[in-house]
Order: sequence, then structure tokens, then C-alpha cells
Amino acid sequence: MNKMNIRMVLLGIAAMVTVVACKKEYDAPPVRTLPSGDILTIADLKAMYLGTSITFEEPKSVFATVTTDETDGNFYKNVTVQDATGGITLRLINSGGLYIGDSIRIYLPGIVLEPYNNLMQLTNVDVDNNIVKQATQRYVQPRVTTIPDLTANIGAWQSTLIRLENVQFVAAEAGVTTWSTPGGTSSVDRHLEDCVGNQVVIRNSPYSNYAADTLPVGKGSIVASVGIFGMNIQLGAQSISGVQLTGPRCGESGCLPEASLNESFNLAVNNTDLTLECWLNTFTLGTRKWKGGVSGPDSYAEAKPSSFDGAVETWLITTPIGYTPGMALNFKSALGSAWQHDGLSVLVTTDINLNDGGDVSSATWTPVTGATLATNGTAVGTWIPSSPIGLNPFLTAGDNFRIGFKYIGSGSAGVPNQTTPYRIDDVTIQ
Amino acid sequence: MTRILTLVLILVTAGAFAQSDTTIVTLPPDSVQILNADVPVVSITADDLDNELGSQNVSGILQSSRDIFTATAGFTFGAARFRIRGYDSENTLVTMNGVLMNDLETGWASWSLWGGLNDVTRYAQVHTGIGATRNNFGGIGGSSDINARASDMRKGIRISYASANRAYRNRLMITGSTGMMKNGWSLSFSGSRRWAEEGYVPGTSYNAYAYFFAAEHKINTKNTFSFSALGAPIVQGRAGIAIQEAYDLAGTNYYNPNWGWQNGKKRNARMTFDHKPLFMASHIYAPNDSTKWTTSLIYTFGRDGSSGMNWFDAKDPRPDYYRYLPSYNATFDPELAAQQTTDWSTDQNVQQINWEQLYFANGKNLYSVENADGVEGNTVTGNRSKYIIEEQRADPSRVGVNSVYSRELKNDQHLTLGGSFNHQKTHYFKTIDDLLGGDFWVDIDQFADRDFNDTLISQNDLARPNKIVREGDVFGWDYDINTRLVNLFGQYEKKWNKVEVYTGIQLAQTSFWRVGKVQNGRFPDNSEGKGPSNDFFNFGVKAGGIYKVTGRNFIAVNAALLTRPPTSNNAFLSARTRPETIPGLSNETIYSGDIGYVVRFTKLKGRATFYYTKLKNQVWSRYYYNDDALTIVNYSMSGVDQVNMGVELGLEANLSSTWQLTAVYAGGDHRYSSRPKATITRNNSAEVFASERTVYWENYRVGGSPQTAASLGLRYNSPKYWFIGVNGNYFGNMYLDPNPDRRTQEAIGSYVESDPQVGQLLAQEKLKDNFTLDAFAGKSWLVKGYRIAINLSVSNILDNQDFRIGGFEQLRYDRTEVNKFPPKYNYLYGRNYFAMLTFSF
Repeated sequence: MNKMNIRMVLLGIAAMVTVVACKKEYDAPPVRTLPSGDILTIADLKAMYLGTSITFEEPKSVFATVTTDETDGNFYKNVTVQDATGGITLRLINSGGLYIGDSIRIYLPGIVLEPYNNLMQLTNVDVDNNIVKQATQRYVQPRVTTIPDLTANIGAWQSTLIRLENVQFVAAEAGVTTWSTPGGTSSVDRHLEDCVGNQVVIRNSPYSNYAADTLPVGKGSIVASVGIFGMNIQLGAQSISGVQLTGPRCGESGCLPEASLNESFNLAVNNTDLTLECWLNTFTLGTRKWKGGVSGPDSYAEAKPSSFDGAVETWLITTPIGYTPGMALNFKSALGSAWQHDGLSVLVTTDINLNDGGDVSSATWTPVTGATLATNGTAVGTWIPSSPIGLNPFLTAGDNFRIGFKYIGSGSAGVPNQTTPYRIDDVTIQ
Repeated sequence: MTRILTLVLILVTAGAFAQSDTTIVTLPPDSVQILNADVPVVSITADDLDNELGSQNVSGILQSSRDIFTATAGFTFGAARFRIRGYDSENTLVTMNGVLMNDLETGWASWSLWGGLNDVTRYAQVHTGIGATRNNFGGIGGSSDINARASDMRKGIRISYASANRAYRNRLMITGSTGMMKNGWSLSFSGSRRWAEEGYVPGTSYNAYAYFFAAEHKINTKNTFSFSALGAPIVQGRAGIAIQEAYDLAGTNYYNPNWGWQNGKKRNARMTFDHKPLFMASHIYAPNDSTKWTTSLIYTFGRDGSSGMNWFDAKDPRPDYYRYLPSYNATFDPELAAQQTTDWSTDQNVQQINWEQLYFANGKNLYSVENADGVEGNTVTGNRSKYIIEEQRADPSRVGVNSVYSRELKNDQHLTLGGSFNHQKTHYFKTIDDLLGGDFWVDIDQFADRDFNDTLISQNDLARPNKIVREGDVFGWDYDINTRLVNLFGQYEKKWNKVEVYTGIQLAQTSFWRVGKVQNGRFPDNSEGKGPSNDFFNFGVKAGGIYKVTGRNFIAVNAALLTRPPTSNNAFLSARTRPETIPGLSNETIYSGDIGYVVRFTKLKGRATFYYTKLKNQVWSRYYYNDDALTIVNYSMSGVDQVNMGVELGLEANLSSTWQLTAVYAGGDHRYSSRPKATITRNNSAEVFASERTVYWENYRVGGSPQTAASLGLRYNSPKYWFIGVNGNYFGNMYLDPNPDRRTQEAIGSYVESDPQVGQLLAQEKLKDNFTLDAFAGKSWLVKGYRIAINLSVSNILDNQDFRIGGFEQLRYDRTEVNKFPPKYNYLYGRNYFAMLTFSF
């Protein structure tokens, strides 16, 4: 009995060792295909609508490319597509599955063609069952346009992608309110304008992931799809990355404050008016600006009166700088010919929106004292370092400011004779 | 002749346990049993444990050779999810060869570890309630001690085949043991297979094996070594739970939303893939008759996987999603609702998962992933799966050592001292089981992707942003939870003529911590690496005694006071993303006591016990989709108190030598007894939606178990080796556990008392009382030294298919329209049977 039992036991163990519970792979089922049938364009679709909605039954298809999607939450169950003939809005039964740049075939059976407040739509679209993707990342370039052009083409351009340039949110909204009302349940209207006051509505969902962000202050471009509600345009932002409203607002200087400055005038062209990005080269008296000067390897800025101009007041004003405590100004100055008068002064202002001489005149300027300047006794062409000039007496943390190099002269006709050309170079603020 | 008598005894006794296939081991009386006249010593079987009930961690289906209450409560009532004294599984300690088997993270006893090894695990002693226990301190629910030593297995070979219509339909089992051989060795093995193409519930397949091997060597009179190895690989399709509308539309209360047709076969999306082998070595040192020192080592490891659907940027593929049900559209779009009603009732592609549709959608979802796998400029284009089958894994590994010294002292005294060390590491991660016809999946968090305007936040693995994952790849989350338990206990017992007493003490230290293996975008600072250790020191004291009024009348009293740490599975806010624990995490305190009166006459045995238990300062933690926050939230409560009290009655009367009558009654009153504080946090950020929110939970009933149950049974035992019996069972006071957030001031908001929402939000649902009838019969023969036995049991003979035995209030709720997310229910199986043929020699 014992022996037999042992044998049975060992046999049992051997049997157990062979026991394996394995996971079986499921066979993929044969999957149906969607026939193309007749191919229609979006223009064909729009032309089919004669006042009553159409439910497609025959196997017909439309090829188009997705221009807006639901990714950032600004659109829900709603995307726009377009082809060469125009755009149309798709209303999805279920959220998800279509992305900007998807080149798709829309298989029409089951889909309904009908407008909603003049916006032509394909409704009842089931992404799983009506859409066959052909390719991805076929990004449609937006039509670059203006608010008046858009308004004039509202019907033809509906559901297409546009880019408005040189627009900004109206002053009551820009930097004041948010894109939408997070926690709310319906979309809100915000208003874009151009520099001459034309406006257009942009409608934003409270479910977008930027709904709580404050509207940008600046002017620039925005990519959106053209929606219609009744007789009005309702733009829908394609994505927050298509919102480039970073420039100066209409009527404002185009430059944002820099953290520091280091300018050696290397791009100066001899005896030619200086143009430096974000700097202002202008005058408040006479008509002369600062000019470039090149002498051997050395290039610099130079101001002098014209022999015929009479009195001049010429300004070279730096790009705006954001003040941080401890900042110091450095530059060097030289005389362009034998000394006749002290023509150079240095000033600072926190009125940074300066676009022309008028702005300069009306700005509040504070003299920056303490700079060592080329003066009576300085040899012509010898550079005199200003020595560091701390800016803390003039500014407080957080100020945005500009430094103005002001030159005054009266020409040879003036009394006393104020004709000394002044040069500056190596301007640093850090 | 003796053998026949034994056999008869065994079979007759077996008859008491209607749905079991188990013979009862009559344990030799010892002082423990007498000491615990109140708390029964029973044997246990795990017959249907790894079954349809969803939780694979039922504390036990108990059988008793001595206590009719525990036997009936454990088995007959078990079908209706009755839990003795309303205790959860963590209140009963389960040991095998003296080593703790409860999962260290959940506290639950994982009976599925040895599912299918009924021939082995039936050798268990069960103590219900507080008592004198000699393997450990015990839980307030008692302990089950499984003896898996080869020398204790019944000598011989036993082969059985069972047919059933429950979780499985067939079971084949073979067990053989040598008993102690002359050379001092004992060997034992057992193996089984349980299987069903489809169990009682549609779409639930079952394929389980089990193996057991044990060897024991008695080296000399003092030293014995034993070794055991066991495992139970199982692949099972799970049953789901649905709202009543879905049951009604499908025309059956056993509707299962988890399956759908694929290539003409039923495919279940929610499968279980488990296999956790267990190895154990023991040394027993018994220098003399009164001393025994047992030291055991265990090691277990393996896989615990459960699959399910996941989807991205696509419609919810679950057929019973609330928006697909007619009620959602009934008001605003009755035409659509009517269509849905028709489709749902008639089209199985609507009523169940439409696999073909998922393949179809995946197969044409062309997508380009830019900067894939974190490589700049790497664009991967292919069909991105919208729908996948993923497997969530919780793979444990554990080592444990346990040593217990037990000594009989002079003057009927007994001393037990023991200690243990356990370390469990569970590796949590997800893998892709099936891309369902697509080419890849992108490893980002879909909720974070929608909620935040930042492509890094949604990344699940910042080391590989935009990670492309394919079948078999790890994704989603990847972390370990480590739990360490060090425990010391001692127990002293003393007997006098009229009185027996015991007292025990326990000291324990528990630590758990998380180790993240990936850095995710939501919590870049702490998602990766070792998190802080959460340390808890605990103690327990217990004492009890018996007063023998006469030789047949006893009064028994037991009491315990203990603290215990929150379980690590409840302690973390969201272990999948970060190591933070819920606010207010601290020890639970438990006070428990019972007093009972026991009679033991020849014709009448009975017991009446009153129990009272207070569980103080428990924690509670769940996650769900919150309709206010519009995202997944973690809802955690601390300071959850609960009082369970009630009476237990059991009577067993021998009306004649052949007729026996049994009566059992359990009347409980199990309620929450505090106003816990809730913290609600967003799952995928550190945002706290609410903290210190008061939950008005006091006096709500604890759900999940009938609080009243009664059974009346009649049995006939024929002297001709057959028996037959019938049980009538009644269940009442069944409640759904309350959704905490519905019982807050915030939920009530500005409603006034007359608003209907107030009642709807606050009322606790009581399930209908119900009645079932069970019957059982058996017969045995002895043919030329071979034993043949047939057992049959039929449950729910009246085929009551409307008996709700459980369910839950959905945590997701709409305070203005409470019925929008109605409760989900479970139903008792209709008429079902278990029949077995056993052949042994």
C-alpha cells in the first residue's frame, strides 16, 4: 500500500508539474470596410442643401482635412474640416478621435446635412463608423485676412481656417478678463479689433484648458475657424499656440522691456541715420537724427547739427529695459571735432511708449548725473569712459525705463557756436 | 467494521453541510476546545470561495462539527453574503501551518491562493470570535488554522468528480497521502482542475488548476521537518454588476456587461489571471510531550492580474454606460430612448460589448505621435488604439518567518509565546493585453491631458515622454508597496474545576512605504523613488473565561482591546501617482466582547451569545468620477467609527435517532457611529477640493451583509448510509453601504426639508427581505475496500431570482437628480446545484 501510494503521489506530482494556466491570444475578427462610393466636395455638399435637411443613405464620401479639434477643450463634439472648395463643421455623436491635420474620408451614410443658424453642418457623425483616416499631419495653412475681408466673405469662408493679423482684444477685455468662465457651462464672447476699430467676436468654451487664463494684452495674429451664428461671425480659436498677441497694442511702441543692454553699434553705416531695433532715433528740434560713424574697425553713433539747420535737439533712446536694483549704465563718449560746446546729456524716463519726437517731448525725463563725458580739453577722437553710473537714484525695482542720449546744437549760425559733433559707443546697462 | 462505522460517521456528518463536498475531521478534544465552548472549533472548506462574488477574498465559508450556528452562518447564509458579526475579512486571521496568510496590504485572507485544494485545506481549525489561540493573537473575528502537514493528511487516495452550475461546472480532484511511513517520511499531493465554458452568469468562463505537494520527515522523536508547496493558477471571466434598468432591459438579473461576441464566441473583457505559488518549510521541535516549538518559513510570489477595457478619446465602450440607457434620454429625446430600449432588449451587440466595432474603430485611427518616446523629431505614425484591453497587476512577493513556543505547565497551566516577521512587496503596474487591432497606445493620462494645458503633466513616464506602448509593455503606473509586520504575542491559560481562563497580549510594529519606479508628470517631485515610511506601533490584550454551571451548562465571556494600523491599501491618497497618505492617518482602536450561554445535552445542543464590538477611527478611501469636479477624485475619510452588536442563537435537537432539527438565528445591529472627516483631492494633481468635510454618517447601517438571518433545518439520517435534509432560510435588514458624500451639508446645499432631493440624498436603501430553500442528500457504499459516495445539494430550490444580496450606491451622484446614477445590485443565483462522486481507497 505504501509503495503504491508513493507511486501515485509521485505520478500526481509529475502531472501537476505539467499543469500550466496559459493566457490565450484572441483572434482578431474580420473587420468590415467602408466603400468610397461617389466622391463629393464640400462645395457639392453645401449645394445639395435646398432648405431641408438631408440624411445620407447611399455610400458616398467626402475627402477633407481637419482644421480644428477637441484637444484643448475649446470645441466639444465639434470639429471643422475643409477641402479646396471650402469648409464645413462636423457635429460628432461622441467626443474624440479627430485631430488637426488628419486627412480623412467622411463616409456619409447615417450623417445628416443641415445648417444651424446659417452654419452648414454634418451632424450625427460617428467617428468610429463614419471616418477613415488617410494621413496625418496634413496641416491646412490658414487664409491670412483682415476683419473687413472676413466680414465680407462670411458665407464663403465659413468653417475654414483663417489668420487675422494686427488684431488685439478690445481694451475692456485685454489683460482684464479671462478667455472664458471656468466652471461655467456655456461659451462666452470676447472681442477682437484691428487698429482702426473693426471688431469681430471670438467665442470661447469654459471647458478649454486655457479658459481661466487672462486674455493677452498685445496685438498680433490669431488662427481661428470661422463660425456663423445667424448673421454674425463667431470665431473659434484653433489652439492657444495659434494665438500670437504679443506685440505692442495699436498705437504703442513695439518693444518689450529687455533685462539688460549691450550695444556697440556694429551695424552702423557711416553717415547714415542709425536704425536699431527697438531704439528710437528722433528729434525734438530740427530734422536731424543720430547717424552711424565708422572709422577703421570702430563703429559708433554720432550727432551733430547741420550747418544749415539751425538749432537741433536730437535723441538716441535705448530699447526699454526692465530695472533691477544695482543696475548701472556705462558708455563712452568722444568729440567728432575740436570742442566748441558741451552738447551731450543723458536722461532717463519710465514713459517707455515712445514712437516719435512728440512722445519724447511729452515724456518725463530725469537727467542722469554723474557721467564723465568728453568735454573741453578732450582730444578729438579720444574715447572717454563714462564710468559706471548707478541707476538706483532714478528708478525703483520693477520700473521699465529708457535712457535718452540727447544732443543739442545750433549749427554754425548759432550764438554761441554750438557745432561740436558728439560720438557715443559701447552702451551697456546691466 | 470500524472502517465502515467511521465512514458512516463521516458521511452523516458531511450531510450537515449542504453545499460542501467535505468530510469532517473530528478533532480530538483538548483544553482549547473546552476553553472555547462558546467559540466553535470547526473545519473549513474553500469550495466556492474563488467564486462569482467578485471579491476573491471572502473570509471563509465555515463548517462546524460542533457549532451549528457557525456552520449555518458560514455556509447557508454565506450565499447571501452574510458575515458573522458583520466582520470584514481582516478581522479573522488565517494561518497555514501556523504562518499568517492574510495579505499584509489589505488584511484580507486570500482564500483563492489555495482554491481547488479542498482535500488539503479542510484540515483547519476555526475559532470564531475572541478566544485562546495558539498560533497568534487572533483577530476579533477569530482565526482559521489550516494544517497542511503531510503527516496529518488522511492516508490513501481520493478521487472525486463534481458537477455544478455555479462559478464552475466541472471539478476533478485527486489527492493522495502516504501517512507516516516506517522510515519517518510522509508525502502528500493534491491536484485539481475546475472549469466551465460558462458558469451560472453569462460570459463567465472558468479555468483553474491547483496543485499541492507536501513532504514531512520525522528525523527523531524530537525533530520533524516539513515542506509544502501549493498554487492555484486561475483564469476566470468575471461577472459584472449593473443597475436595475440594465437587468430589466436584458430580461435577467444575471445580466453581465463584461462580455461580448467575438468570432462567434463570448469574450469577457474582465478576466482574472492569478497564480501565486506558495512554499513553506517548518521545523517542529518537541523535546517532550508538554513542549512544542514550531518555526516556519514561507515564501510566495506570483502574478495577480485582472484585465479590463481602457479607451482614449473615444466613446465609452461599456454597453451599460449610463448615457446608452433609455432613462438618460427619456425626458429630452423620447424617440431616441424608445430606439435604445428596442436595441438594448433585442441586439446583443448593443446589450453587450461590441468587439468587432472596437477592432473596426482601432483599425483605421491613423495617428502621428510627435517626439515619440521622448526623442525629439521622432514621429511614429500608425493606428493608435482607441480601445484596449489592459491588465492591472498587483504581483505580490512575500517572505515570512514565524516561531511559536508552546508549553504545558504544572497545575493545568499553559503558556504560548510567539513572534513573526513578514515582509510583503507588491508590484503594481499595468500592461497591455490586447491592442484590439491597433498598432500602439500612447502612455499619457487622459484626464490630465484634458485638464491641463501642458503636454508634460499628462505624461506617465517623464523619462520617456509620449511613450509608445504595445502588447506586453508596462505603462500607466509602476510602483511597489512594501509592508513589514513584526509581531510578538504571548498567552497564558489556566484551568480549575469550575472555571477556565486565558489572557493574551500582542505587540506589533507595522511599516509600509511606496517605491515609485517612474516619474510622472503630475507629481514630478515625489512620484519616483522611495516615499516616506508610515510606521505604526500596536498592542492588543485579551482575556476570557468559562464558568461551568453544570457539566452541560456553560457561561463564556471574552473581551479584547487592540489597536491596529490602517491597511496600506486604504492609506494612500492615490498610490498610483504619489506617496502621500490621507490626512489623519492613525491607528484604529477596537473594543470587542461577547458573553454566551452554552448547553450540551445529548438531545439538545445550543448556544446563545451577545456580542458588542466598536471599531474606532477607521479610514476609508475610494476614487471615482466626481460630477462637480468633472474629474477623477480621491475621497478619503478618517475617523470612521462603527459599532457591531447583536445576538447569535443556534439549536440542534435530535428528535429521534434519525431525525434532527436545527434552528439558527443571527440578529445584528451594525451601524456607523461617528461623523467622519472627508478629504477630496484631485487624482491627478495636488489640488484639494475639500478638506475636513463632515460626513453625517452616524447611525447609518453598515452595508454588505444581512444583519438578520435565520434558518430552520430538518434532516433524516438513515441507518442505511444515506441522508436527506432541507433548510429554509430567511434574510433581512440588508442595506446598501451609504455613499458618504451624499450625507454632507455640501450635498444638501440650499435645499429645504420639503425638497424631494433631501430625502433622496439622505435615505439609506434597505434591500427586500428574502427567503430561500435548500436541500441536500447523500449516499455511500463500501465495495471491496473501496469507498464510493454520492453527494448532492440544491440551493435556492424555489428559484428566487429577485433576491438582491448586495450592491452599492454609486459614489458618482448628481445632487439635483439623485436617481441619475442609481445603485447597482447583485442577485443571489437562482436554483443551483452541486453534485459529487467520490471514490477513495
